[in-house]
Parts: sequence; C-alpha cells; structure tokens
Amino acid sequence: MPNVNLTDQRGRDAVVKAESIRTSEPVRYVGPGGQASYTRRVLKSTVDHDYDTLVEAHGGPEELGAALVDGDPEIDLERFGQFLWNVSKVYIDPEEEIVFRVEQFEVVEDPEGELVERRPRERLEANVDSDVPLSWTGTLVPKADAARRFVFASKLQIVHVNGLTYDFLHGIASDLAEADSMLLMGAGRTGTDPLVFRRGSTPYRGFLEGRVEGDRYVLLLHLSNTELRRPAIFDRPPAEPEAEQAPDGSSTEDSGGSPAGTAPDAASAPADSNDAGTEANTEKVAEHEKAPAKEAAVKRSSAKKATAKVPTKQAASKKAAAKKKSVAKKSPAKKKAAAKKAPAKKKAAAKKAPAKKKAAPKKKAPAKKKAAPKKKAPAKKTAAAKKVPAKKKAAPKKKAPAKKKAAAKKVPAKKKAAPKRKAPAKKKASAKRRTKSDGKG
Amino acid sequence: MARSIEFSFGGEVISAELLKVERQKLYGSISVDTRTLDGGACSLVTLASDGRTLVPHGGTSLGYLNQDGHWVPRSELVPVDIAGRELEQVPSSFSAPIELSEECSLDEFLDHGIRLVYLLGLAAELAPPLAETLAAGTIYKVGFSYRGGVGTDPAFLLGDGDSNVWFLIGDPHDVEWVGLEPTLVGVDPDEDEHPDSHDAGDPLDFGML
Repeated sequence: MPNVNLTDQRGRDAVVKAESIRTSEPVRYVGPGGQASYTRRVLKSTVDHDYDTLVEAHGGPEELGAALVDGDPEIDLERFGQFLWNVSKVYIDPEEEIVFRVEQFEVVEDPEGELVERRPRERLEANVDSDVPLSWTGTLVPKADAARRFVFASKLQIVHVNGLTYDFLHGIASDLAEADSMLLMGAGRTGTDPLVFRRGSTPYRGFLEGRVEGDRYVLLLHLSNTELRRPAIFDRPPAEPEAEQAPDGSSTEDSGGSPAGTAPDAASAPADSNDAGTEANTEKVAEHEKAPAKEAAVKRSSAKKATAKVPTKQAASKKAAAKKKSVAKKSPAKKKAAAKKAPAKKKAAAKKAPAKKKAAPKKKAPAKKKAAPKKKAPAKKTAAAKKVPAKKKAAPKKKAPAKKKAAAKKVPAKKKAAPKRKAPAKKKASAKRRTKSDGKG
Repeated sequence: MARSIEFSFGGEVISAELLKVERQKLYGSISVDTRTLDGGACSLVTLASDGRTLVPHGGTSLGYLNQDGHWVPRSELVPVDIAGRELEQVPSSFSAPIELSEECSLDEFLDHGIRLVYLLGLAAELAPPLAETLAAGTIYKVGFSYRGGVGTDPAFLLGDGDSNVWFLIGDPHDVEWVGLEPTLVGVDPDEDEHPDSHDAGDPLDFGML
C-alpha cells in the first residue's frame, strides 16, 4: 500500500495511503473426485536444445530433420520435466553466454512502427511520495466526459491514516463530489509531471474522483495512460495486408502498455500471443543488428540527424496529441496559475462552468435545489477560488501577531518567573538551618 | 482480420468488427533494446537454480499434480470456487449475440479498471433507439468471454461524442465507503458481556493506578 503525498484545494498537503482495490474471484482446479491439485513449474527445454544449437550441431536444417525422424535429439531425458524453483532472469549474448554488464536503449517507434529515436534507457523516479506533494492542478474534467475521454486502466483508493487526514480527505472528496468532476493530479515541482509509483514503472496521468455519503467518503485515484480515441491508423487505407496479430498479444518488453504490477492481457490471451510478441521483438532486434550503420549514425555523429528527425516526428505527434488533449492545453494555464494562484483558480472555475453545461446542466440544477447545501452550492464555486487567497493572505497576518502576542506573553512570564529564583535563597536558608540543626544535633 | 461480434438490442441484432485499440496505435511504442558493451544483442532467459541451466523463452511450463505428486491432465481438472463449488463454463461471446439489457451507472463503470479497449467497426449505422441511448450517455454492461471458459469479464458498451462506439473490457474493483470508525485491534466487541465490564465504571478511579 503506497503512500501518497497529496495537496488539497487550500494548498495543504498530507501523506495518506493509496490502497489497491482490484479484486479477482479465485478459481482453483481440482482433480478427479475433487482431489486437490497444485501447480509446479517444469522444464521443457534449454538453450542447449533450441533450434539454433541443434542446427549447428547437426550441420544444417536437413540433417537436423533427419535426426529428428531418427531419434529425439531435442529432448534431454535426464533433465526435461524436472521441477524448477528459485529461478532468476539473466541476459545472454549471441554466443549464449551469461552477460553481467549490459547497456539498455529505448527504441521509440511511431504508431506506424517507424523508428523515431533510439536513446539510453531512462528510469523515471517515483514521485508520488516525495518531498513535493502531488499538486491540485485545478483542472476539473466532468466525470461523464472523463469516462469517455480516458481509459482508466487501474485505480487506487485513497484512505486516511488518522483523524486529521480523515478530515483532509473528506474535504477533498466533498469538493470533488460537489463539482461532479475529476481533478487532474500532477507531480513534480511544476505540477505537470505524470505519476510514477515505483522507479522505472509506467507513468500515468492521475485523476482524483470523490464521492461523499454523510460522514463516509470515497476518494479514487484513476490512472490512465491512454485516451479513448480512434487511432489515425484505422482511417488510413491498408497499404499491405499485415499478418494478423493475436487479439490480446503484446510484446514482452514494451514499456508503454500495461499498468504497474498488472498483466492486463494475460487472462484472455491466446496461447500463441507471447510467441507473436517474441517474433516481433526478434524482428526488431534483427533489424537493429542489420543496420549497424544506422545505429552508429544515431549514436555518434547523427545526434544532429536524430534531433533533426525527432523533433519533426515528435512535433507532429505532439501537435496531433495537443489538439485532442485539452488537459495538456489546460496544464500550461496552471503553470501560470502557480505564479498567480488567485486568478488561475478563477480561470479554472470559469473553465469548469462551460464544461458542466455541456455535460449535464439540467441534472445539476435540480440536484442542488433539492439536496444540496442550499446556500453553499452557489457560493462555493465562486468562493472556491477566493478562499485560497483569502486564507493565505490572512494566515501570515494572523500568525504574526499571534506570535508577537505569545512572545509578549512569554517575556513577562519570564520576568514574573524571575522572582522564583529566590528559591535558592530559601534553599540556602534551609541549608543554613540544616547546618545549624546539624550543628545543634 | 478483425473478429466480428454481435449484439442484440430490442430484438435487433447489430453486427460489428472488434478493432483493438492499444496505446501503441495511438502514440507509438517504446521498446527496450539490451546490448552487451560490445554492441551484441542480448536476450533474456531464465537461469535455473543450479546456476548453469539456461532456459529460453517458452522453455518452461506449468503442470498440475495431485497430492501424490502424479501428473493430472488438464482435461481432468475441474474449476471450483473458493468454497469448492464447481464453476459453470460459459461459451465464447462470439458464439451468440450479446443481449444489451443491463444499463450501468457512471459510478459503477468507474469502479472498473479497463483492461482491453475495442472500437466497434459497424457495418451499418446503428438503429435509432440504440444510437439515441448511447448518445444520451447510457452505458451498457455485459459479460464477455473471448474464448469461453470459466466466468466472464465485465464489459461495457458506450458511445463518445464522435459517433464512435466502444466496447471496453474491465476488471471489477472493490470500492468501499470509508468512515472514521476506529479500527481498534484487540478490543472485545462484546465488552458489555465481559465479567469485569461492570467494574470499569469510574473514570476518575485513581486507586487503580
């Protein structure tokens, strides 16, 4: 259960817990007659018995074919079928020797599979429980819109850790429930970075949703790394008939896909999907092997070329994304908002209003009339932005005099306390008495 | 070629192609290429506990054994739930039209994590009743199983503002209301029935200190 450092609308931050709430119905398999069964991982094949090694050993594919007809050279009867435990993952080189030092690169490809960039691998640091809390960006997306704009792959429930954080989270949930919207949470000092829960894990955009029912609340952090929109590839005429990929297949080392700690496609993936992914990967690797000049170009001299190529392609993709990402459009406004808090929040409130009108203007109005906080409902939205500066402005003024007063109080208190120093005099007197009495005694 | 699926709404059957939408198709992909320091391509394999045996991808498998350690063929295995009740096998969702009858609230939809995203490639325009309800924001919930088997996954049919119809397959999440109820550990819930509970009356009993 990771910690999350959150900020609320008033700029207060607190460290709370984020619980995983994914559930799955446990399914067991029993043998005939209800006899319990358990699973064991067994060895099927080794590197010494893969196709390449066998072809090399037999002198060619035809010879290997003949050997397969005659016997079972692909099977090691002594070892295959043995149980495996305490296994580990290692890298091997083309000579099938274990490698202890490797270099990793990220191969960036565009949606059409063309190489955009090759760069050293970067692992993003976790940022949800750092010194810089997740910021209240002020970007509110109506829930109904958010459900149709983003794919929420995973979610975490934010829960309090004590009474103070209960009030803190209940307040956030109330604000969001009243707005019937989700709030975009940003990480980092700028408040625009995606959320990274573990070092090197998939970055996500986080949307906070709140529900309130009396004293109880639900605060959900919805995580998304994909928009719900039609890919441009679908609208292009097919140039070549592509080999059909397995419906749920995904490449093994693709960092852009699954949410942290989950295997989204495992449940319904056909048996050969992994193989398809492997083939794709090996093709990619082979492609890179075939083109050392290309790599060298990217690595050494063509930093310029790469940067020249990349911006154009990246810029194109960014432009396309920017058109559809209204959130991304809003975020720069928040940067400004960070500098000018009060007006920015007013802007956010202004942005919120039309969005709500689009979403469900009719529903909200009666709801407020019926149940809602009567006087608060209209006042809060306008006052929401005003609250922050008002409190912030007021805070230092209040605190300063309070300290002064306290200081002022403390000083005379010390002065008053000073006469207590007479006590030692008494002690001395009593000591004298004691000595006297002792002397007497 | 995309696989076709059928939905039934108000007695009318709607046929559509399931077009899988992945992040890679929208934004491209980032794959990791691992190299030796000399530039040779590396591949990831499994090292067995003996420290010598290298197992390539696909070189291991899971086997079911009974209590005596004997191999149990997959065909003889029976799926049961946690209580030991045999689970019902469901057919593939492609074998018959899926009835769109259960509407789902927005909150219920948001209580699910979305695992797979499909865009419906409709052969013809949607019939007005369904098109109108989807445009009005209705979300339909169905059970979905790609190949058939044990149970179904929750799936949702919804429309967006651009006349696209989406079929999303998800996982349920256990969202709970949270209150300030203290979760005290070691407190007897039947405190009133405790024999010593009558003695704990005076909170200012300094004699007990």
